[in-house]
Amino acid sequence: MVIAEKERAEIMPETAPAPSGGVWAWLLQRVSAAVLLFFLGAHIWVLHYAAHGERIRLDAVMDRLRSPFFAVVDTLLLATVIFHALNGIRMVLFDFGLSRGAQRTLTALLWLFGLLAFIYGTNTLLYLTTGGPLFYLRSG
Amino acid sequence: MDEIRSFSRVNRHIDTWPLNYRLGMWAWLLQRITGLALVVYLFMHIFVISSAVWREGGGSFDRVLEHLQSPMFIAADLLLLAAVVFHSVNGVRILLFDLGIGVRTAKVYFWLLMAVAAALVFWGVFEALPFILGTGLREPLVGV
Repeated sequence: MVIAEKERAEIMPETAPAPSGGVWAWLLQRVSAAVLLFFLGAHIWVLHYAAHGERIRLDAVMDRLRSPFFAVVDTLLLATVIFHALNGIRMVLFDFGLSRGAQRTLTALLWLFGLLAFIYGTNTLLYLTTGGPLFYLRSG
Repeated sequence: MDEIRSFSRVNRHIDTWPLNYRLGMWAWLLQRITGLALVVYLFMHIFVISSAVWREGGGSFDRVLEHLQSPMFIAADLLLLAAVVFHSVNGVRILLFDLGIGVRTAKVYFWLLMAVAAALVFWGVFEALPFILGTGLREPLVGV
């Protein structure tokens, strides 16, 4: 006898679908993971092998970022990794079983944090590539 | 209805009692744990490198980076490498399973990919050892 998924979920809660946050979250997590395999590998490779054995110095970094290829790749890497990381956090927290309101709030907070982190990182990248960032941050 | 006893107090319909774990659950748990650790590292990395760039004073970025390339940090980087490699290789395994590849020989795949992961980590350790022991770094060639 076929019973509806909802009824079965009431009788056997362990068969309820995992509340991890929807199909897009699942799919984009995989897509960003595949993209990251490439970008992150390139990032580690370039940083540790391009000038093997030498200390990392600012002028070497700026030289590398002068080429538009690296600047674009680094920015895309930043966006993809922030998305993958925060989407992962979202999935882990959703699995604790949050209410609808909590889910919406959490998603909004994660988007906000992600956008701020991306703007912060891109600002630094802009400074390194063109010398003209969106905003200056003096520290040290 | 039977009383629900579960390991988790937050959502009692999820039973994640480690004594009931088999290999796949350990992999799932480790994926999440390394993921959380990497998230922490990620935002630290973005912040530290950015603030080193913004640091005032000539050569200050280089000074910070030199500090970050001292042997202790390189050894810590190997832990990071292990986390990244495990998370990536296990992620590849999940991607393959999602495409239906290797589901029936799951255990074989897992250990095969873990062998790949171990090889990558050993490679990293091998590469990093001279720098930890202090003999690897040389000044960059000027004017090249």
